[in-house]
Amino acid sequence: MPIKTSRFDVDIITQSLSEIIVRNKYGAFQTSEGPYGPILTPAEITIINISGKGIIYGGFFQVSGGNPPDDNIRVELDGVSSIFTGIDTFKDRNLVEPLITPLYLTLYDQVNNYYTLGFSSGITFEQSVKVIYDCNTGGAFLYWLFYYATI
Amino acid sequence: MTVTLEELFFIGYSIMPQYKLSAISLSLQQDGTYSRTITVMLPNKTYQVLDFPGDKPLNRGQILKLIKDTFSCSPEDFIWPEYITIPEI
Repeated sequence: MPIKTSRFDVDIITQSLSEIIVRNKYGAFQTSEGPYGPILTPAEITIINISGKGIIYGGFFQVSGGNPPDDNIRVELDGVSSIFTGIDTFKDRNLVEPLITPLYLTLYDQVNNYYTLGFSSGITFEQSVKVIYDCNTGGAFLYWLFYYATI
Repeated sequence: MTVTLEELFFIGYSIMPQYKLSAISLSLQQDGTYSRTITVMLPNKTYQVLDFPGDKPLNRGQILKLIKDTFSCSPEDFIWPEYITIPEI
């Protein structure tokens, strides 16, 4: 049986590229969306738990009702928790810009009892990502949008 | 022309359709249960998100069955990366 082969010549010297586009490729865009609540009794609640390798595109987390300033929220990346977890801590340390920590404060409204945090975009994870809310007083109502992709 | 066994294996491996597990995701729902999705990378490098049945236990066997039933692929065509574990609450 004859073997088919193909061959073409390329003159490397005459090749020229006006530009090269390089970009990172992650998997398909995915979302996780709330709401959940009200949380009736103090409890630590895992909101999102993803096993895989990927990237956080962003999103936000909002809590109302109860006494959110006393509650905690944390992002756990590859089994390691973010350090600043108390919602009051975000205000006290003025953590209001993305990428300082995996979460950043965008709304602290004591009058209407609404508190919102953003998820920093561009954070990659190698094994897993979790979002955990620790409700200390009960009565909290949660809403979130979490954008991510896995390879 | 002679072809070594290693080359034959490489040729066979490279043309075999490969499905790869991309993620296992749990997301809390209003009723307190978790929605469970399985993300799979297809041989054409696109991704498909599968809803895991609510009445089935989330374990390796059931995940493989879901993928096999959905894509009609054999276990040899499927890659489960070791860094992906079944998430627990």
